[in-house]
Amino acid sequence: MALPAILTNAKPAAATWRALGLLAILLIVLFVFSGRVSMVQVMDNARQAAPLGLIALGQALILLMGRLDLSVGATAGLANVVLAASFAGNMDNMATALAITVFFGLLVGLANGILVVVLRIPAFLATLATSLVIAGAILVYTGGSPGGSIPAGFRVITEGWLFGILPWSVVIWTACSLILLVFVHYSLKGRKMLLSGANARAAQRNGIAADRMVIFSFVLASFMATLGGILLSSITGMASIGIADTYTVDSIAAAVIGGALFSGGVFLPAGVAAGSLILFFLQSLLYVLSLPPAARFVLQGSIIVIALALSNFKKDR
Amino acid sequence: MFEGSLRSNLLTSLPALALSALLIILTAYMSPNFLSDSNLTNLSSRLLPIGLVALGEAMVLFAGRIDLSVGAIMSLATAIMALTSASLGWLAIPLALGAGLVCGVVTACGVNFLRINPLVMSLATAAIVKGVTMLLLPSPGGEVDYAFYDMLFGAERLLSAPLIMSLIAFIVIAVVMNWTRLGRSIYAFGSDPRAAFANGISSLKIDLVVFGMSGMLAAAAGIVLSIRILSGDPLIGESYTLDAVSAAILGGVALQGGRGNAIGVFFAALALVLINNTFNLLDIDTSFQNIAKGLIFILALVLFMRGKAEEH
Repeated sequence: MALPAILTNAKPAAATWRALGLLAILLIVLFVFSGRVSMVQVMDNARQAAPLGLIALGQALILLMGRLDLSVGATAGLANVVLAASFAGNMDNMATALAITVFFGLLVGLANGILVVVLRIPAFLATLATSLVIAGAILVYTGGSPGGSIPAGFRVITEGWLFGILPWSVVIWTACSLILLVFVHYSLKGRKMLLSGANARAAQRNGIAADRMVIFSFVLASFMATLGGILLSSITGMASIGIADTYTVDSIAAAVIGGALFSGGVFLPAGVAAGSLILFFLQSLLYVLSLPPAARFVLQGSIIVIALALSNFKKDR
Repeated sequence: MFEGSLRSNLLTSLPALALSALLIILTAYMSPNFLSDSNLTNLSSRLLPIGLVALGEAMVLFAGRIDLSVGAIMSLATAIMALTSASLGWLAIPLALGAGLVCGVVTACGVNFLRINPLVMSLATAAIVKGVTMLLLPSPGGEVDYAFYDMLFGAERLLSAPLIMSLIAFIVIAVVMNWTRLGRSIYAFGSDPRAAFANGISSLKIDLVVFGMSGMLAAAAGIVLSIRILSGDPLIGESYTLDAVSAAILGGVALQGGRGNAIGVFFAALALVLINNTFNLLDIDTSFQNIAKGLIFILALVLFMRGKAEEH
């Protein structure tokens, strides 16, 4: 691709600017209220927001294809249970534990993709059913009390800081965002995904196997959800049932704040990152104001409505 | 009287009818307890909540919309009943129904005025409703007056109050949908919103009616549930959303709107209750039941929706 074209593509979209602006305003408000400004504090928040950031990236890939994945929370929860069980607190098991966890994640994505493409089930229903099956399977496997733990050596990925200024989980998050950005916007396969998401029929007429792109996006999204689940496990250090359930709606909210459209064809990793941080900061704000935990659900719902209403309003004009 | 679209709509209920008949024969054959009075009463008391919530979901689907907030609304209704039935008595019921109506109207407004995709709008409503419910009642508890239980589930016989109430609800909605101007407008809007608009059908009216009814029926289902468990539970409704959509699709309702019939949904709801009942009679673990339910749902989708998406 010629350099000017790369530069044109690299210019952040208006929606990304909006999300980043909102994030900046939120940070200023937080600083003014807490009376302290520190980069470490921001980075520490980003560190904890990383699982949501990764899961929301996966959701954004599905939204890019004009679909919705309601199983990302269950998939991240599955990763948590499987990782802790296969790690069993022993660093020697790292390679097998990661391999098994990722394998299960990819399996979920493949199942979703096949249900949606081959069996022609609407994505939100297929993934809703998958999440029910996953939740049931976790209960059957663990008998209600999941075992195992994540060894301290591995927990460096969320507890450790690079040069003492950058948490490793933020590094992982940024790397994933950049890789996906480059992949979707600059690789041939990624461009095909964008086109299939924007207009599946046009893509098909131009010889792109749009169906295969959909399966691929589901596998990729489940992989991102699994990575999110791995980071989450590293933060908590143990397995718990339903730990990631709220991430399904959270990931939709984060992607939508970041400019994702339900009509498909849009993928803005920077916007999604800003959206995840905004959601996380708002949720910590609720915590600081000592509002009951239930308030976060009200926040989730309202944010989705406001973000979508605003984007629809702009489209109309 | 059974001409044209009405007849083809009635035909969509045949698979569900066959399935529930098959399940009745199977279960009765497998378990001698099945036909006992207590099991039949139990069945009809479980049919009522699933039936009501599925009926509401079906109305939304007739109009080509979808409502994923019904489970959350059910939980809200159980919380309202548990918190207010001691002090307000009978008035708790209209209060819970009113809350369900408000939830439905909120979704309808988001869909109609803000033009948010119904799927996502109802998910957002569900999140908000869940938050409100957990603010009201953070953990299962509260108390519902036993007098309600006695009224609804007191008599142990086949033609018990819950069964009669389910039948009335389904017959009323079936009649409204097939023989009134409003019902036909909902079907027309579901088949082709643009053509419906050109013929003077207001989309706002349709959205308000279907989401309002869905909210109220979900609240009614929640009320029944709270009376059965004699308390409230902020999470009890969650699994019912999938049940409601399953029952509607199993009953021959098309996700694209305009097709399906309340009669089919009745038999599909009955089939779901029978499947659950079979699991319990066979003493299958609840976590396996979840897996089985997910798989049954996928199977239903595959059998009933195959190819329909391509028409669209």
